[in-house]
Amino acid sequence: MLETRILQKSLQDIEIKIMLCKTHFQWELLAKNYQEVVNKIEETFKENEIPQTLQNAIDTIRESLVTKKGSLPPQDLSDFFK
Amino acid sequence: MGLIKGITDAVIQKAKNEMKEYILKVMEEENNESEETELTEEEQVAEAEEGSNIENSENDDEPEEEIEEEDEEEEEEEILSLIDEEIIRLTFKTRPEVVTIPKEILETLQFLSVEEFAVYLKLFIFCCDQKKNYGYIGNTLRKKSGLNDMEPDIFEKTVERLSKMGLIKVEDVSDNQRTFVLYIPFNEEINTKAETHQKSAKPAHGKDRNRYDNRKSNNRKGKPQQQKQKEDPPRKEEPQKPIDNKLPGIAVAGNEDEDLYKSYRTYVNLEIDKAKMRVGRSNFDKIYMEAVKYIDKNFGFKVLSDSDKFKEYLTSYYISAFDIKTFEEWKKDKP
Repeated sequence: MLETRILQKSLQDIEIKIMLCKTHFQWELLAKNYQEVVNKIEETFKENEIPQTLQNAIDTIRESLVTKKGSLPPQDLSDFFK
Repeated sequence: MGLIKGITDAVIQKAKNEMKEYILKVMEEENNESEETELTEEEQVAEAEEGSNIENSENDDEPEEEIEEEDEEEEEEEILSLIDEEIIRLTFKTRPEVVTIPKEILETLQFLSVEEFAVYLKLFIFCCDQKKNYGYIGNTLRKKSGLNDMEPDIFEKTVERLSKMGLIKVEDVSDNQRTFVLYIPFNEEINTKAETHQKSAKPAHGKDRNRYDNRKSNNRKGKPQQQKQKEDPPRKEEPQKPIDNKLPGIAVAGNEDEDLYKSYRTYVNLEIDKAKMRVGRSNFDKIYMEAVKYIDKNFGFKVLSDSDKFKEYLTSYYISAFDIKTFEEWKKDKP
């Protein structure tokens, strides 16, 4: 129960940071954090079902991350083509 | 002589009297007739007025009835599928020198209206020219296929009807972008099956679209986890395979045309820049947003968060969205 709350808190922290995110670099760090938390959740609930609240939070944050990435200025591809 | 003159005078006098009486009778009859006609005219006018009032009152109801009837007709309009085969993505091995229309398509085209026939045929020619039977639906398509004179609404309706007939498949790639796959019978000699990288894209018409919308709303509300797992298998799988081998960002192992590939990448970069200028900043931002959503939906969050992979997929998306030539096409057209 306590672990679930801690994990939920970690997800909430990411959600707040998404709102403050302004660059692609910051976004990538947040995405990395998100992946880590999701991995931790999956590891914690390996045998049991992930609680609905956590699952909802995971989905919501993923959606927020995707929307945020889309709303950032389009990524410059000129370096990529060099 | 005097007697004869007297007789003739009497006869003339009698004739005159009779003529007078006759003329008077005729005049009386004419008067009567004119009175009757006036009366009948008045009656007719009155009747006409009454009639027009009734018509007006009827006409007031008519538009609604007509609209209702039209709506009902539209609702009732059931278009049966003319094609039983599933529409698959094809590419042409080479750009056909002579565009031939398979007989089975010709037979089907006989059933189409002029507009449907024109749209299908123009798209068919366009597909042969671009060497693939799929692409994006939009103004560019209308322009390139020679349908820009057609009203957008009519074009949309025609495409919808063709879709119902099974001659074209329309898929929603995102909220603003749609793709089409034109029905062309597969011929091993000239066609190859293209990789269906947009399998998970949702069809624009029919029940599937509603299903997608329902799923979307359910996701927002928060559904039971088991159902969610069933509905979102692609997200869990997180496929990391490239869309196809035409991604300009991927260095092909053992590629002899490495220099050529580099110049192709430069060409793609330039084309993207041109497209950016063409569509404008705000539209380009929207396209970028759609690209991000598309990549996340179809290839998973891991691809989205991996900078290099994301750039590869983004480039591929731009190539499709802006109709930039693929490596093979570019190589062939290169002087």
